[in-house]
Order: sequence, then structure tokens, then C-alpha cells
Amino acid sequence: MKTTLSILQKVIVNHFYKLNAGLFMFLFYVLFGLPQNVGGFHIAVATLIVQSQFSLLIVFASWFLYNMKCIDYITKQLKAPQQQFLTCILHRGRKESYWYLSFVQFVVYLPVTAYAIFLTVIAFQRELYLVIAELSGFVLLMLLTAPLLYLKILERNFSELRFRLLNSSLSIPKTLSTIPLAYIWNNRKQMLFITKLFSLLLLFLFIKTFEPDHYDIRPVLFCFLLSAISNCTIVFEIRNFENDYLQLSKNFPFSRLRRFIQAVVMYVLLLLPELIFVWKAWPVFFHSADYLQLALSAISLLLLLHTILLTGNITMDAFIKIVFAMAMSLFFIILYNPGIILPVFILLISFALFYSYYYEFEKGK
Amino acid sequence: MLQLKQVKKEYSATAVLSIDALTIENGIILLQGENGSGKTTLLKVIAGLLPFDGDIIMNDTFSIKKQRTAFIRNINYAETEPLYPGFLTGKELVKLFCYAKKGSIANIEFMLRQLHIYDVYEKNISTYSSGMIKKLSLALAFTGAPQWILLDEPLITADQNAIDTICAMINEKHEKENISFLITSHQHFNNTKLSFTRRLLAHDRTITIVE
Repeated sequence: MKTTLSILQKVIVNHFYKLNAGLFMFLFYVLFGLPQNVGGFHIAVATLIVQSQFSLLIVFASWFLYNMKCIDYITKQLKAPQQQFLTCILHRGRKESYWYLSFVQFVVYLPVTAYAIFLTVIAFQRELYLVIAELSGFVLLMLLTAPLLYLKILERNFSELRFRLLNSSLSIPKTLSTIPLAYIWNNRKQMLFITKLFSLLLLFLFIKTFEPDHYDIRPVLFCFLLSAISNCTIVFEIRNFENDYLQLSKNFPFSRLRRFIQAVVMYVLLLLPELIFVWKAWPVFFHSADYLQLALSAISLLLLLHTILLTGNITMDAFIKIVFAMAMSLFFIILYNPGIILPVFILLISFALFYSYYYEFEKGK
Repeated sequence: MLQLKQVKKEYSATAVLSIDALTIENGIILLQGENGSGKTTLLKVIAGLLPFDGDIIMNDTFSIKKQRTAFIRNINYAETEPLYPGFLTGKELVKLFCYAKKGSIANIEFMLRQLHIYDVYEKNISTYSSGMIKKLSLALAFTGAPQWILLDEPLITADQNAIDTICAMINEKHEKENISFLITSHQHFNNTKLSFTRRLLAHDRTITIVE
């Protein structure tokens, strides 16, 4: 038993934390590094959460997203050919296998469980017993249901369980612009779903909570760019897919300008939900004439991320750091209200990088 | 005619291909060599899939570095172990290639029938066997009107019927449309259905003409 848990720890859990070290460090810095009175700050936040059902709902939504991320990672690991040996766990019987996989879920979900315990203590002090029940019920639901899914995957029965609706292929013309998106739709549905949910929720919360006292495009522009930049993992997956499966397209007689336009079309399609949803902010946050600036900024930003990945073999960790640095820089640049110059400048840089590196990029070099 | 000038290709600072000057005349050319001798790298370099130092010029007209689009329009390539997205159907891939290479879909469909894989044409590539994927890639290499078709180990994993069909297709394209072929093999090529006009040998990171 100890050996099995140790193997699962090494193969799945440790790798998960290593992979997400950047994210955890960032959260640790924001939550414990920035506030001056850490204890007082966290108690105040926790009190705010447990005293409002709406706040609690938002917390549950973010925990659910984190759980989806955990599920996405663990299912990918269990399906990976190099982890096929893990099926030997099944020899111990379904019940025991379930508890082994519960251990994996418990450890990767530990940050949420720990915070839920903290919230429970705060709720207990304020005699909010319904909230305690909700917290316990939610965390137990997340901890106990996910291992059932892992068990099915280990038994290689997952294909029968897939949602038929989500499993349908995209019946759109397959061009170099749409094939990478079809790949994301077919092979990275969870990632796509979580990303879109997150980016649209971000926009929604901004529109609902922020009340401008005068017209200024900068707040909505920054929020919209954050929303767009949350698609960065999809951009990374698209580049990986292009490297693995679309190398032969370099043998197509297309000019670099044409290929760049194909990439523009691809990111317009990827950002279509955000580009449509942002109209909810009209006319309070932006005027129709400023929509071009919003749309062009978001599209050019994803193009820049795409072209940065052409400059070398950049790992996910390094890429996330670049994305964070870019988000910080954008915040300061937007403060100076650069107008349409910003997206045009980003677009020009993207094209210059694309032109220089498209044929020079070589995977693994 | 392809002229290779000062072509050098390195992986991790190790030279895998170094050709000072080489002229490959039109025809059906066999490129032989051991595993790792640089055959696939040479084909990928000519097909524009890999960056390299030097230049390649076609018919004294197009340089791959200076007139890349025009050069690539005249080069088709089929990989040894083709890798296509499994969620695409054969039909979607054929449409994509025919659109890019300005080829006739009907011609490719005819080839697929000859290679006995037309019955899976509308099925996802993930359902294809490796032999079927290889046949599909060979048919795709004949899309459009190239001057050169580069075939990397075209006959491996192919059954006897497919070998005969592929050889017939190569001969027909060469005779009727004057298309040249550069075909690699790491084994002794004992197929008599193809009459090679020239043999090249990949050895010691360079390519030499076998007289």
C-alpha cells in the first residue's frame, strides 16, 4: 500500500505541483506577501465570504475551476502511454483502487481543502452552520466524485462515458486557421471550457461590479486584455499542435503574410465569445467607435504570444512568466492611454517576429 | 534541376548534412544510405520544412531562400512516417492539400481508389492503419503540378499491390508530365518496376553521385 501511494505521489502529485509551481508562488505572493497585516486581512476576507451567499458562490466557482484543472491534469496523466503501468493498481480491486485515486485527488486538491477548513473555522465562530454544511458538502463532493472518473479512465472505459454533445466534431471547413481550433475542441475540451468560463466570468464580474463615474475606456480595456490573456494556455497548445502535426504545411506555397493572416483569423475565431460578450459593457464602458481598439488589442496580444513561441523552444513555465510580465507591462502602458497605437504596435511586433522566425523555428533545437 | 550550394544542416552543433555543391538533374533519382546518413534531412531541407545554411536553386530560376513560395510550389513531399491530426478525415486532408497546391480532388480520389483506401476516405484518420496513412501521404504528394516529388522511403509498410501501383504512378507522372522524383531508401532497392535515371549515395554527412 505504502509503495503504491509513493508511486502515485511521485508520478502524478509531485509533477502536478512542479508544473504549477509558478501559479502557486504567484498566489502565495499575492495572498501573503502583499497584505501588511496578513492575519487580519485573511480573517476579514474569510468573514466577507462566509457572510454572503453570493461571495460563497464565487468562491465555489473558483474552486470548481481548480478542480477541473486537477481533473484535466490527472486524466491526461492516467491516459498517457508511459503511465499505462498504473493499471496494475486495478489488481487490488475496485474499492482499493478508488481509495488510491482518492489519495491523489486529496493531495492535489489540498490547497482548496485547507482554505475550506479555514473558512469553516471562521463560519463556526460566527455560528453560520448552513455555511459549514455547504463548505463541507462542496469539498466532499469534489474529493469523492473525481476519483470515480479516474477509476473509469484507469479501466479504459472512459470513452463510453464521454458526453455525446461535447464529443461531436466541429463541422466547419478545415483550413490552416481552423484545424488548430478543431484540435482544441476535440482534444482539449476541458481546457477550452475552463478558459472560456474564466475569461467570460472575469468580464461579467467587471461589468457587474465596476461603476464608472465618467467615460474612460482604460478599465474595460485592461479587463478585456486580461480576459484575452487567460487564453494563453490555449495559444501554447496551438503552437505545440502546429509543431507536431502541421509541419508539412510549411511545404504549402503560402507567403508569410498569408500565413500571418491565417493566424489572425484563427485568433479572431478563438476570441469570438469574448468579442461578442464584451458588448454587454456597451455603452457604459466603451463607445462603438472604441470597439475596434478593444478587439484589435485582444487579437494582437494573442498573436504576440503566438509569435513569441516561434522564437525558441519555450517551456510552459517560462511562457507563463512571459505572460505575467506582459500583463504587468500592459497595466502600466494602459495607464498612459495609448489609444489605437498600442494594438497597432503589438501587431507590428507580432508580424516582425512571425516574419523572422516562422521558417527558422525548429522543435527541439 | 536542383542545385545545392553550401548546404549545411546542424542539430545541437553537430553537422548532419554538409554539401559544398551538388547538382541533381531531372529524372527518377534514388537516394540511398544507411540510417542516420542524412537522407530524410536532405529531403526536408529541399521541401522547406527545415531551416538550413546555404541555398538551393531550381532550374537556375528559383532560390528557396529568395523566391521561397515559387520554389515550394514546385516541390511536393511525402514523409517516411506521416503524422496527421487524427480528428481529420482523409477527405478533409485531401481538400486542404488540393486547395494549397491547386490540385484536382478527382485525381487524388482516383489514386486513393487505386491504392484501395477510398472506402475509408470519409473516416477519421485516427481509424487508419499505419499502412493506410502511408498510402494517403503518397497520394497527397501527387497533388497539383509540382516539378519535383520527394518520396521518403515510399515502399516501406506497403503491400505488393500498393508497391506496383506506386511504381506505376511514378513512371506515368514522369513520362507524361515530366515530373522528377527523388526517392530515398535505406535498403538495397531491388524493385525492377522503377528505372532510376541516377543514383545518389548519402554517406559521411554528404551526398555523392554514384556513377
